Amino acid sequence: MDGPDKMDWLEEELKRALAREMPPRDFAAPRRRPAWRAWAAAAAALVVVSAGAGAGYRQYEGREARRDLKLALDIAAAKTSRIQNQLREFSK
Amino acid sequence: MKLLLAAALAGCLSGLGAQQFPMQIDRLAGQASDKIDVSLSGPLLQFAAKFLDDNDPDDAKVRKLIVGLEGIYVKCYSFKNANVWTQADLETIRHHLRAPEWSRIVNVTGDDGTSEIYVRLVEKKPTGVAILCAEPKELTIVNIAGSIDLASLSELGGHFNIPKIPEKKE
Amino acid sequence: MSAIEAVENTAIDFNGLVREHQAMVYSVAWHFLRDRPLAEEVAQDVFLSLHRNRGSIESPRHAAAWLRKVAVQRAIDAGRRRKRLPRIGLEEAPEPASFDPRYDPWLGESLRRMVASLPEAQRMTVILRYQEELEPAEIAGLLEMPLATVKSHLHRALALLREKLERRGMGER
Repeated sequence: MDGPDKMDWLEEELKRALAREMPPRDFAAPRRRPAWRAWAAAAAALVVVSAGAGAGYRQYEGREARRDLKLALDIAAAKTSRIQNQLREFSK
Repeated sequence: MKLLLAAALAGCLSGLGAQQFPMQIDRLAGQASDKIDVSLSGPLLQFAAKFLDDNDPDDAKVRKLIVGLEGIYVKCYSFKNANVWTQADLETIRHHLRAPEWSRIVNVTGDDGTSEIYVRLVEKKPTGVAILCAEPKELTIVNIAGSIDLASLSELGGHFNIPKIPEKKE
Repeated sequence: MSAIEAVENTAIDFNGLVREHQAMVYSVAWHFLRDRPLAEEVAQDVFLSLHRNRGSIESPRHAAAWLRKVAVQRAIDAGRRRKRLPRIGLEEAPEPASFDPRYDPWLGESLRRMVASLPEAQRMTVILRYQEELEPAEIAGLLEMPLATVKSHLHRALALLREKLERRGMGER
C-alpha cells in the first residue's frame, strides 16, 4: 500500500477495475443543440410523462439545459463585470 | 456607472423571446480554437429553470436573475492568436444594432479591445440587452431578450465556489 | 523568445485540457457514484468550472491538479445530494453463473460494485489510490485529511474488500 512496487494482487486488480474510462460523449466536441431537439425537450416538459425511460431522458435534457443556462449567464456576467471595471479605470 | 447599467432595467415586457439580432460570423467560427454557442429561447429557458435547485445557493441566484428573461443567446469564440477578428467583423454585428430600437449605452475602447453594451427599447421600455466584447484573443456576443438587472448579473460572475490550488512544487 | 511570447505559448488550451482530462474527471465521478448520467453531469459541471476559471489556471500541470480536486469535490457533493444511493450492498451483488479461476471477468465488476458500496471517505481514497495512482501523502493533501487517516481508510477498505472477495470464492488465485 505504501508504494506501487509493493502492491499485492488485490491492489493490482483494483487498478485494473478502476482504470479510467472515456465518458459516453466526447466533452471536447463542440455542442450545438439542433433547433428541433430544443423544441422537443421543451415540449416534453409540458407533457405528463409516465414512462420511466421518457422521464429519464427529460431529466437528462433538463440538466443539460440548466448547464447551458448557467454557462450563458456566467459568460454574460464576466463580460459585464469586465466592462464595469474598464469604466472604473477610465473614471479615475 | 451603476446608473448606466441600471438604465437597462426593464419593467414588463412582451415578446416571443427570440434572438433579437443575427449573431453569425461564419468566418470567425471556422478559425476559433474554442467555441461556445448557447441558444436558449423562451420555452427552453423555462424548461431549464425547472431544473434549478433552490437548495443550491448558486441556482437560487440564477432563478432570481432570470425572472424577467425571455431568452439568452451567447456566442464566444476564442483564438490561439491575437487579431483574428477585424473591425469589419464587428461591423457585421453593429450593423444590426444600429436599428432604431437599439441604443448604445456603453462604449469602451482600449489597448485590450472594445466593449459595448446596447439596450433595446420598445415604447421607451427596455426589452433586451446586447453585449459585444472584442478582446485580443476572444470575441463574445451576448443577446439577452427580456428584462435583466445588469448590476446583479455582473455580481454573479465568479461566485461558484471554486477552490484555488497552489502549483505543485517538485 | 520574448517574455510575452513565452506567456502566450503556455496560454491555456481549453479544448486540449478537456480532451486530455475528460477520462480522469468522468471516471472519478463514475467510480464514486456508479451512476453514468450523474457522473456525466458532474464531469460537465467540472469543465464548466474550468471554463469559468481558465484565467486563473497557471499551467497545464496546475490545470490537471485543479481538475482532479474539483472532480473529487463535485463527486462527493453529488453523492451527498443524491436521495437514493444506487449502490448495491455487498451481499446483493449478483453471483457469477460460473467461475473460472484462471480468468474471472466478473472480478472487475464485482470490485467496482464493492468499492461503490464503501463508506464515502474510504471510497474516494481507494479511487484516488488505484484509479489515479496517487501516493497516500498526495491523497491526504487533496482530501485535506491527515496522512494517518488516509492510510487507515486504505487499510480498512482493502481488508473489507479482501474479506468479501474471499467469502465469495473470488480471492487470490
